[in-house]
Amino acid sequence: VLQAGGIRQALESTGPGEQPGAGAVTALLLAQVAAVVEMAAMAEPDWSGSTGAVAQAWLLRERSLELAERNQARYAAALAALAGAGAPEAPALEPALADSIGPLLAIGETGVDVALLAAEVAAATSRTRADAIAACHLAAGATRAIRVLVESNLVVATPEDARAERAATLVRRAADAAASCPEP
Amino acid sequence: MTTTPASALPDVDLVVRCRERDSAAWHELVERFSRYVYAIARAYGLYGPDAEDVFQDTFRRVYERLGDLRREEAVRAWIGQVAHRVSLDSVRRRRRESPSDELVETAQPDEALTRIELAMDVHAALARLPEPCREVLDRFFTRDESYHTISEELGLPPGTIASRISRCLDRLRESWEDPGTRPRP
Repeated sequence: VLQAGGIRQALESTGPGEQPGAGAVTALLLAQVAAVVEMAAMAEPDWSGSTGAVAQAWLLRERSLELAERNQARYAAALAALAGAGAPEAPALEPALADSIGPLLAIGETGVDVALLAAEVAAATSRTRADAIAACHLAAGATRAIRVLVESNLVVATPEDARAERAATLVRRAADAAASCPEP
Repeated sequence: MTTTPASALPDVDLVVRCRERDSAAWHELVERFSRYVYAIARAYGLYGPDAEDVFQDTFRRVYERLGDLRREEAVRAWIGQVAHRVSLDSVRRRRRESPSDELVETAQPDEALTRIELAMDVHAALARLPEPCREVLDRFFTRDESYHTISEELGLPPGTIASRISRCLDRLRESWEDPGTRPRP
């Protein structure tokens, strides 16, 4: 993809109105970040934890891609409800928005996992340490983005709403993981 | 004198006990390989009553011919061959009865059988691991639990889960590559 200049092509392959929503984009970002962690672990074959870290990074990448699909489906349903708001046969908006929160929180949880794994890889590697550290911070940032989306989709958001609190907890955990990353 | 429960017996000893007409051992053998036999039937596109017929016929033949098995350690491969033949017979029978049956056209068993064999090998290797390793691998890879959920359930710091999984994966590989090796505790 890189050699063929394919990144631009991949981004431009979707037509107007076909772009994924922010939740799915965050999940796709996490899939890419997990791939960076996988690459960083693979570049250190002498490290005893290399193979295990590669396997876990691969699973987190797969999990992120599945969540991107799930989230996009919920997002599309919410958009449809929004477009028909007020019409008699239109699906209700509030349940559609509430349904989107489950996959968003799962993406946030995966973000914490990617940050934790990246921190472990960063501590054990030398050649690809900077990549692993960058991955750690990217994953923490993705979890912050998820918190924004969760709070905005909570139609009746109260400070004690368990889902809002859950998103805040995930942000703290990802930040802790990023803070545990070694300096470059 | 205590007798080892059938569920704790390795395949070789289980076959020996089955030949002695130990009913508990026979039930364990059927239980241990039933999913394997069903998976082979499904690989041939056989479901529902057809898969059930394959199951019944396979274990009937296994029961009748267990005395002919020369290498007890090859019991899984042997049961797989029996299930393979029974499934093929079933597909051919259905083809004669219903020539336009899509089942025959869609059955692509070779690749599916290879995956089943691999899954069985991994499953067997996993069963030989100590319980803590089995549990952590199952939670992460099968139940899709996060590091934090696993750490809370097992009472371990979240930052140690990834390295624990890596160590258990190493043990799984050892167990898979050399089934005779007793994994480190």
